[in-house]
Amino acid sequence: MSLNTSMQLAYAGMTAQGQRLKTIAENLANSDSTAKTPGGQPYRRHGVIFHSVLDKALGATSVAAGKPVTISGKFEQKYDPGNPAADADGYVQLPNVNPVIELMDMRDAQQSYQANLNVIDAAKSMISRTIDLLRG
Amino acid sequence: MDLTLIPLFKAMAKKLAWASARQTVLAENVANANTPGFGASDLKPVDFGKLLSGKGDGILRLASTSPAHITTPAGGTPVAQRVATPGPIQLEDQMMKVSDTATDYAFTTSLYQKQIALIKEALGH
Repeated sequence: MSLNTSMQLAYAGMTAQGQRLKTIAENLANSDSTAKTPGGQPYRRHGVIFHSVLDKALGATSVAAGKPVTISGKFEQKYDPGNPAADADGYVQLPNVNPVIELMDMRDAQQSYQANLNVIDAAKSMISRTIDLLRG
Repeated sequence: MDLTLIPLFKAMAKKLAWASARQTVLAENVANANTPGFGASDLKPVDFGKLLSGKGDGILRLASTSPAHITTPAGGTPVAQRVATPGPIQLEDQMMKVSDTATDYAFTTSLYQKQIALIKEALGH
C-alpha cells in the first residue's frame, strides 16, 4: 500500500535528520575540547552526508545518513601557556566548531524533521479516511 | 453488484490510487530534502473528468496496429507518470502539495460515501 510507503519514507527521513542532530549535538558539546597532550590536535568538527538509496522492498527512493565525516578547517589559536594542551610557544589550538553554524544547521534539521512528520500526519489522515469508508 | 462498473466509482477509485501514489513521491522528496544532488519529482496531473466521460481511461496502452498484436487488458492503474521538477526542493512547496493531495483524497472519499448513500437510498435501505 503506497500510503504505508509514504510513512516509511518519512520515517527514514526522520531517522536521518535525527542522526544529523546527534552530530550537531556532538559538535556543540565539544566546541571547547582541546587536545590532551601538549601541542596536540583539538576536536575536529563532524558532519553528516545524506545519500538517497533505492529501497527495493518499498520500490521508492529512501534516504540514509552516511557515517559522520570529519570536516577540515583551520583551528583557531589562543595564547594560554598554563593550559596542559599548550605547545612550546604557549598556544592552544581550539576546535573548528562555529556555534552559529551549528545552530543554523540545527534549525534546518528541525525543519526537515517537522516536514517529515507532516507527511506522516497527512498519510495517516488519508488512511483513516479510507477506513471511514467501511462505516458507510 | 460491481461498483467499478459505474464510471463515477471507477474514476474515484483511480483518483484515490493516484493521490496515494503522489503522496509517496512527495514523501520521497521530503525525505531527500537535504540529500545533495537529489532531483525532486512529482506526478503528472490526470484529467479525471476525461475518465468520467469515458473518452479515455487514463491507461497507457501499447499501440496495436495489427489484429495479431497482443492488446493490453482493460483495468489497471491510471498513468502515474512521474515528471522531474527542476530546482532545489522547497519544503514549503512540498508541504503545500502534501496537504493538497490529502484534501483531494478526503474530498474523493466523501464523494464516494455520498454516492454509496445515494445508491442505498435508491435501494430503500
